Amino acid sequence: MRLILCFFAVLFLSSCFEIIEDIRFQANYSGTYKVTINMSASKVQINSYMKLDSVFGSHVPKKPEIEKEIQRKENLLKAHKGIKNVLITRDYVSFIFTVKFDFDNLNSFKEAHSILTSDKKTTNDFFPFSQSGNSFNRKDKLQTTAKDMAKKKKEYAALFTQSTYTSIIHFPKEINTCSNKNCKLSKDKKNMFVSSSLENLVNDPNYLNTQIIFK
Amino acid sequence: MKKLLFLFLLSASINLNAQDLIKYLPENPLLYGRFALPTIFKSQPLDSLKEYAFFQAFMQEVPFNRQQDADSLLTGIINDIEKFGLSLNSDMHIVVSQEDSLIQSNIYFQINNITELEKNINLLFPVGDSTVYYSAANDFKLFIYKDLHMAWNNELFIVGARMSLRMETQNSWDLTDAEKVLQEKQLNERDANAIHKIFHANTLVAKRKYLKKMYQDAAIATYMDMKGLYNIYLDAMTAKFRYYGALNIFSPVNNALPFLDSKVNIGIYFNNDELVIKAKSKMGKELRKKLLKVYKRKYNPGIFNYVPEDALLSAGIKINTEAYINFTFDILADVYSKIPRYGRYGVGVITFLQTFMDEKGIGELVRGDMIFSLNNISKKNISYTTYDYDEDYNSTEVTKFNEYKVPSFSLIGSTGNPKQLEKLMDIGLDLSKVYVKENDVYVIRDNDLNQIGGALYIQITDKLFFVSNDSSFIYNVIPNKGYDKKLNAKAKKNYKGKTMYLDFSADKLMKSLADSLDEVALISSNKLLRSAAGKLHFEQSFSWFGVSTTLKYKTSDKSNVLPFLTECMNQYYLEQKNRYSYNDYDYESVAVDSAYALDSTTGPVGEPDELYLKEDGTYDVSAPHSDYEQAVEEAQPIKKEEAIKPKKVTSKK
Repeated sequence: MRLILCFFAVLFLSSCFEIIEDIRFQANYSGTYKVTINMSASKVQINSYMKLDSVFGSHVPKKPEIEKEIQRKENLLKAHKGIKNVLITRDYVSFIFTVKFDFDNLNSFKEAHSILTSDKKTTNDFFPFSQSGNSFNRKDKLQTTAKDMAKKKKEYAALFTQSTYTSIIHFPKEINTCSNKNCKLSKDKKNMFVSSSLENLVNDPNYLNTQIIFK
Repeated sequence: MKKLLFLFLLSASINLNAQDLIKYLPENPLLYGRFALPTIFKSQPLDSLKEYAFFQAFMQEVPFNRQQDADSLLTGIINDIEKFGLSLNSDMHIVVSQEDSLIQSNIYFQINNITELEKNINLLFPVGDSTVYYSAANDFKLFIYKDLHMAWNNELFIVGARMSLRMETQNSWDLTDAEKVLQEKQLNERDANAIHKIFHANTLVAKRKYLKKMYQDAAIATYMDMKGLYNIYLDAMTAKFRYYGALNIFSPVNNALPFLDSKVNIGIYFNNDELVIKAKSKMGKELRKKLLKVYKRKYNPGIFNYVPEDALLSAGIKINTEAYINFTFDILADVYSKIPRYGRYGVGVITFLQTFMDEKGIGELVRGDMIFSLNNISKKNISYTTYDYDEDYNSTEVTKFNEYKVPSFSLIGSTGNPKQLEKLMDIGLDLSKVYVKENDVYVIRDNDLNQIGGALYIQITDKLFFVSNDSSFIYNVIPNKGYDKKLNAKAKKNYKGKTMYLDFSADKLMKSLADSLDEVALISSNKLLRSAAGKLHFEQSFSWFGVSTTLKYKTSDKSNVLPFLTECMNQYYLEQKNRYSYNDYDYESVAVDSAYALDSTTGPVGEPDELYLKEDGTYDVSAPHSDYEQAVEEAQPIKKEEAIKPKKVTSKK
């Protein structure tokens, strides 16, 4: 019976999720990082997918596997120098996961970012944020997982178009210029907001790249 | 008199002189198909086929004229057939037959212009070309070019291909060039004899009994000897495995052939607004006897009270569960008992299961008569969390709603032991919080079902059991003993005597799934969707005479039914190809891997499992295969002349 329900769920529903990165920098580039992966709009499909071994040829992890990996990352983050107040929340009913921590400086943030984005086998030294003088830069590159998904564009077409990535960065000082026309600035010009569908990010890896010059 | 009448009827349905054609048909074909081309093209215009991707993809696969685009190729082929001297205004016949170990697939056309035909053949394959083999006998001229052959007399043109079930050509690498030429010549002579045998028109017309059973007035009528077809399919599939000496994975299927023994007739009709496929199948006596027991079951009349009138899909089956379980065990035991060595373990497991299983008890619990209905598609609002942002881009959680379409279904079956069934259902009650009993209704409300705003309900009454996700069915329809009594009579009439029955309103389902009027309009405007938005009806009945099946598809746009079906198949094929890369699947390497796996488990001095083909066409289980022999030579210092060599297969003259 469950299989029938799964079948109907997969048949009648299309899935999507949102990723929200919220970074709050202090003047010395210490700060707080919070990333939220919200799949609640697709909770019915996710429940169905989790009963399957694979979807579109990709392995679907089971809850214990996910927990094990979360626990591993949490331990690594907690043990890392320069990272404090690590908090990982998970909600397996609505499928909302958040990771939040404070970092002492950009270097600590880079290492924590590497822990979060690398898998068990490879190390990922890539870090999109850099700072020099009165400017702040973001330069992204397509991550391996996204590349794999991009190869299966047809299967993931609906997922790409309906899922979103949002990046919010709060600075302690006013932004003078922002090179990326996709970025929006708050009224007080201290906060930067950019949001896009995954489709845009896969098609244009430079979509998020920006250089910010402060006043 | 009967024969005359039969020939007269046949003449009326075949454009070519029936006597002339029939005498060239084999007496025992594996497959025979008659295509009334004028009727088919009238209903399914060729021009409409050209528009679809599947057709273009198909044309790209055609080995000739690869550079040409599909459209011009199609026009070319149609024009060329006429120019070639053949007629498209008469029936086309496809015949697959077996002569000794040679399988032939032939397509028969009526000749329009014999002079033009012979001129074209000579242009394509000139006389004197060393690669082409010519012969003539029984009023037929024949030429053979590799696996392709063409044969013709004054009226009939036959083009075909051959496949040998022997492995002799596989050994050609250890022959010299001269030996290869000689071998090819010998094979061509052998093949020519076999082909000419088909055209040897001196047998009695009445010997082709299969023609009487065919659907005479169908646009496409086919006859299939399933046992024969399975045999050649299995032979072809297992050839590589046999060659590399791997365990023959198809042997269980091979051994099940007595159960697959049936003759199948299919008729396809293009009526005014519907596509009708009729099929009748007559099995061997052994299988018929067993199936009669399996299908000996009547619907409990009470079930019909619960079949809604306007269901999107309604399907029923009636089998005798006890007989079905026994039938399954019989087949499995028979299959395993014939597998060398390992089969006895399978038989052991089956015997063990059969000893402890109470087939009669299970057959009483669930008698085997059931009707499933997809009642409607209801809309449910399901909440989800997302985020809103203030002017400084600080986020706050908000709850929004998605509208989902959830199908409501019901399954009704009969039980001969409701008390025992209830006892079984009670087992899980105290173990799980999501499984409860509310007013005699078993309710499952787990996470998945909660999220789509529903539950799964199971109820058992005196003689029936119900499974549904529709609370109104459980709490309104069942207490009222079903729907309107008038519907009962209608459903009873529909299902009576049918072992399987299905009614599916694809048009209603598509409209239920459409989100807006725009989508409904899209269905009406798109040719393929319009063809798909029809009504499917399927029924199957079983009697001592065999299985009779009818499938009807009623649609407002009949002209695109075939394109739609083939487009679906094409999409499915592309999806599978994309997902699993089937193209890369290599039976040869699988066979080699299996061979090595076998060697590694049994060791070089182990007992060979593989059957070996002997000169008389039978298999020798004692001869080792060549890989095995090599392994023996490498591993054991034994004298070469002592090693047993596989017998070389030569062609049978």
